[in-house]
Amino acid sequence: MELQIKNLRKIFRTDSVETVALNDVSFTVTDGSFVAIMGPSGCGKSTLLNILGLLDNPTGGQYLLDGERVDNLKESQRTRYRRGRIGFIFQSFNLIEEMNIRDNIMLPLNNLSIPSEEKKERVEMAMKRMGIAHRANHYPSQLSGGQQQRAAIARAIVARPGLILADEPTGNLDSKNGLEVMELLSELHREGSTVIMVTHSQRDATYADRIINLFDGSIVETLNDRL
Amino acid sequence: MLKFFTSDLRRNIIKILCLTTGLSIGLLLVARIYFDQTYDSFFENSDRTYLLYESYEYDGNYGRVPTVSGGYAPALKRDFPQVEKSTRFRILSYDFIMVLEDDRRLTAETACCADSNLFDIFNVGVTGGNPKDILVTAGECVIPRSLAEKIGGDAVGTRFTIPELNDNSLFTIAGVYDDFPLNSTIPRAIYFSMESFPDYTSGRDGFMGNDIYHNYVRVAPGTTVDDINDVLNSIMVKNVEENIREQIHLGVNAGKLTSHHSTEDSIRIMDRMLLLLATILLFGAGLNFLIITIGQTSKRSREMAVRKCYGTSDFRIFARVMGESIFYLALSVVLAVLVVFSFPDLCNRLLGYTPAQLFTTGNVWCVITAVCLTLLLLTGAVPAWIYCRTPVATAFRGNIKSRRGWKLALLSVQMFASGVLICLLVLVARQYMKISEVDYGFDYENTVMINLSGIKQSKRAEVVSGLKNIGCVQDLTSAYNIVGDGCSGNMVWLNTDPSKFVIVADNYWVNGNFFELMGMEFIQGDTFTADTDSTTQQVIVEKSFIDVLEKLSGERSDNIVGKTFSISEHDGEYTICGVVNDLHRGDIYSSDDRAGVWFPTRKTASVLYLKLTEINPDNMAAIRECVDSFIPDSNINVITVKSGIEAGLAPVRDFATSVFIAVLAILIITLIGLIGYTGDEIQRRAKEIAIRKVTGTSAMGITGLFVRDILYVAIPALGVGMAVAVIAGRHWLSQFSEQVTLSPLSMGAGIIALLIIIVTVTVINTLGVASSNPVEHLRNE
Repeated sequence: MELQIKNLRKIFRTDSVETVALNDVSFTVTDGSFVAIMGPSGCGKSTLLNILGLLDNPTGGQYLLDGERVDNLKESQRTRYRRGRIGFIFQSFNLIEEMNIRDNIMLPLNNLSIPSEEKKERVEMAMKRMGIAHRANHYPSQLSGGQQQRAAIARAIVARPGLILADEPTGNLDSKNGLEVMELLSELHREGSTVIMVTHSQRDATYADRIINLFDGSIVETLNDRL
Repeated sequence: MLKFFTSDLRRNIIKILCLTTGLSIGLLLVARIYFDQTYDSFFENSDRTYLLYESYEYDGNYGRVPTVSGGYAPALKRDFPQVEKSTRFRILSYDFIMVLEDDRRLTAETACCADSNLFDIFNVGVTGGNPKDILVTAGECVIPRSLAEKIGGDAVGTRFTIPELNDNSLFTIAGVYDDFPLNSTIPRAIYFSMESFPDYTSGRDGFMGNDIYHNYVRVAPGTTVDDINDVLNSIMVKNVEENIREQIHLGVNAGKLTSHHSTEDSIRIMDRMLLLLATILLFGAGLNFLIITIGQTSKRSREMAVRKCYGTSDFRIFARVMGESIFYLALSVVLAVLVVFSFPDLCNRLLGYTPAQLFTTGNVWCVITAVCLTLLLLTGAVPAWIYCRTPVATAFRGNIKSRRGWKLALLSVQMFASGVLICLLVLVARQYMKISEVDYGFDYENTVMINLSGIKQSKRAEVVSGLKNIGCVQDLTSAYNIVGDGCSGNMVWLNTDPSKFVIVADNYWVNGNFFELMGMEFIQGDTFTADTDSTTQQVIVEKSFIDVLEKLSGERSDNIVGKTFSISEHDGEYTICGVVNDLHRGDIYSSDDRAGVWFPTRKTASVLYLKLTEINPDNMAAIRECVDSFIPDSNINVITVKSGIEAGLAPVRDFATSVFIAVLAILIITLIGLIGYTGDEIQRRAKEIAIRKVTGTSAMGITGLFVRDILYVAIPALGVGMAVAVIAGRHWLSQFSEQVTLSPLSMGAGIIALLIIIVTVTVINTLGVASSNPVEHLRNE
């Protein structure tokens, strides 16, 4: 999946304060890339990721996904667009506590017109791949942090999306589990998925093809490690 | 000090509003039930006071009335040593005019003749003279204090006449008694001595016929009702001919005075229905309080956990939560009382009494306190128990957020209650429509009725001549009875076999044009011959009289014009000159299926019927003015026949209104509970909603999750509610003579309407968050 953003702006307004979260940000992510977005806290990394993931609309500028403008979509249109196309991985895993792991992973497939047998198959495959098949009937609270993040990754990839967005995926994990998660992301990238990851970790960033450094809502540096 | 109240003000106000709504109607209904259940219980030794009933069974119809012939109570006192006191009275008139010596005219409620023992049993204070002396002296009477106050000054010694009863006699008020409480079956009447009305009380010591006396006895402790009934039976056997006793299965028996009112079918059924409504409303309000309180437990559990950390005991926490609940309950009770007292007229119309009257009955406040304490257990003890048993660590982890099962269970009870009430409302409304559409067998459009009972014949004739001169009066007739009302029963027999008789409904006398004016068509023969009067032996009968003659003669003849028969209370043999279709007689509770008969008169009977060109305020005013011009200061009612019929439907209409108000109240409570529940769930599931949205679930999909949850609870709850409504509805319908069918379809429509409301509220309440940006919720996490 190819992403193009031009002069992207995001301003948060309250009654008395106007905060510029993103200021004329422009870059392109080619299909199959692995991009890391870095920067200090409050520089706009997560805001940028939310816009890239169609969770939020920009205040200005253009955002094209596979050549289609998506910066001015309504909430319902964004929801429809996300279905099966974008996978999300969060720092705090964001698994639903009341659902077991299998049902959590099944979640994105529930919105797609896929035969139920195939859905089950895909979930089993995703769990197997992430090494959590034996935990299918467990609830998130019964799993370790690493296992929860594997479940979250399984959920992100089960619909076979073209774009995977990860917001500090190792932020809540120890180094061993963090490493395993990064290996998994790297593997997905190698298989052709476009991965965009927000991170504070220099080590995690080394897995990316390109590192975009943000400061105060603007891109201050772009490093193309592997190109 | 009220930080617990102000810290979550919106929810706490909702809690109070719900409790107030439930309490205001619930407590009023409880007070009304108490009012009914404590009838006559304030008299000294009321538990040992019995009322005598007459029972009979004739032609498959069983009847029981609270009046018997006047001889029974004195005979019991004489023959049965266990009887300490006995008394009897008979009613002479209702709503009559008394004319004081100074020419003032006052309306009095009831006039009775009583024996001298009346106040021995119904012991209220009497001032003026000794009631025992007054009630044996001709021309003297005792009056209720409320009437004495209307007369003003010292009423004792005041003299008056009652034109309706006796034009010439002057009566003297010799005593004033304290009003019997409102919930008494003993009328607040002017009690005359029997000697004052010898014509009305000539048969007072008999044992057969004249069964219009209210007889009471007070028995010694330990005497059973069976003991009294055995003696009553032996008195009857001794004094009533065997063939009469056998033919109508006559019986005289005793019943407790305190149960007389509450065991009446209509009261018993109505009280049960009111109890159902009250329970639903009070319980519903209490549960709603609980739902909201449980929704607050997450936040407050942390507060309680902190208190526990610093050494607060479970007892103190329990006391604290109970104290808060007492505050909410007390405030709600005060508000409820204010609300109730703001609508005295509505309360009076629907329940028959004002809030002031209901809330001052006996020890009603003890019952209300008990109800409030029960509510306190529900609204105070349950949350207090939850806080006490929540471990500190769990509270800090915030893992007690859910309690979703609890909330859904409570919500399901509320939905069940709404289901019961909505189905009952549908049923009551249909029943009202059914009884409104009854074919009475006569045409009452543009017909006005004037009851001239108690007015002299000469004066009636003057009124009639005056009315005939009014332009809007097309025709005028008169009848002895109000058409469609209950009738006296008289025995019909054939002269060929006088031992065999059938009881018919005697409508007594009517003018010849009565049937035409009332739109009653003749299916055989015609009306009385033109020059007929009460001496002519002609009679008009209803169609069902064909069956009467068949029973008497053993042969069926479909054309009965020209047939003859004899009838009690009317001398000689009568010939049928016309047959009309059966009338619908009786009230909504009981219909009179006996065949009706009418006799001719040329005089003006007591009830006038006028056919007008049109019913409008001007025409009604003209008629009223005419009546007043002939009978000034009268209490004579000029009403349309239609309004009289509608007044008869009032009990059902008022119950329908009461159920409607209860439905509104429970619906408000349930919907507030529903809104509270979905609000809590939205808060609790904010992260889940966001994640679902991120993974592509649409706003409708999210809303659907909530709707599905609610429907899982609502459908079975409403189904059970409908089943309970069917049972309660069947019970309620059993009191009516005309009953609508218990249609599951119409109740189902009510349930579906309720489901639509529930789903709509859920959708509206959840659509906002379902359409919002999921980032907000993830950020909050």
